Amino acid sequence: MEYIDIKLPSGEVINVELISYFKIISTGKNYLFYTKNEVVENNLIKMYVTEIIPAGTVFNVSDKMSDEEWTGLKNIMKSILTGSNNEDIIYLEIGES
Amino acid sequence: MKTQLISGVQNIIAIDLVKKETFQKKRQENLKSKKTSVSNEIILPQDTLEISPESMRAYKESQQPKPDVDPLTNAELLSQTFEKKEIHTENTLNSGEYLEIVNEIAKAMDILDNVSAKVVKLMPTNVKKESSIHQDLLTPVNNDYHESVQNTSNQELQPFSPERNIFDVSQGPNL
Repeated sequence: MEYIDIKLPSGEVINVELISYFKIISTGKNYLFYTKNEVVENNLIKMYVTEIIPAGTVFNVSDKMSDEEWTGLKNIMKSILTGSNNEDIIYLEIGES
Repeated sequence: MKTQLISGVQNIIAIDLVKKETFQKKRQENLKSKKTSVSNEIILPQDTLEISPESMRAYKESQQPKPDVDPLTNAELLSQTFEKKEIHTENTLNSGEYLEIVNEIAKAMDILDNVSAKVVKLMPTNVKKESSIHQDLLTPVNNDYHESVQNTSNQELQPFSPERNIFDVSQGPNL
């Protein structure tokens, strides 16, 4: 498991578990999947999906996301989970942008 | 896909642990394969750069079958190398030393020319022709010697006198 520090739009910095970090080539935007391992009903956990604005070692989380962007991200999630190759994304290391 | 949209928050979904691990695994595998391919891309150019054209040429030549080398050819090659080294040494003379050697050679050439010219001048007077030498050999050098030889031979070859070598048997032995 990999843990990172993220800076929320409120300015608060929290330590979270990294689930995935990648760039969508077509848009040039970086996205982060992370969890605070908060358990909800049906024994599921919350996964946060957010655009990341690179700023050194700290992940600045953006609080804005359009419907279109969210739809596109859900399709990417599906492609990852079904094992299909999505050539529009590049996985990134921590600190890589 | 068992996801659940968290009410009121668009970018939060609920997933099970399997999906979470799947997301994490996919990223890790992809980064690992990317590292391998990147490291290969880095190593290959470095290896290529380390081989200079001369090294590559030498390597190719070393891979070609070598012909049988004649020892004599080797000796010739060695002597050629030695001669080349000698030439190289001469070339290291400075201009002053070189001119000095050239002058010495020129002087020696002048001396040889003078000597050969003198020899040519002396040839007609002091050296006799072959025909005259033969004639001289046929003529007596010392007439007195020839005459004495003739006299001596005349004495030794006196005419045979039979009277002097006959024994008179009728008179008996003279005891």
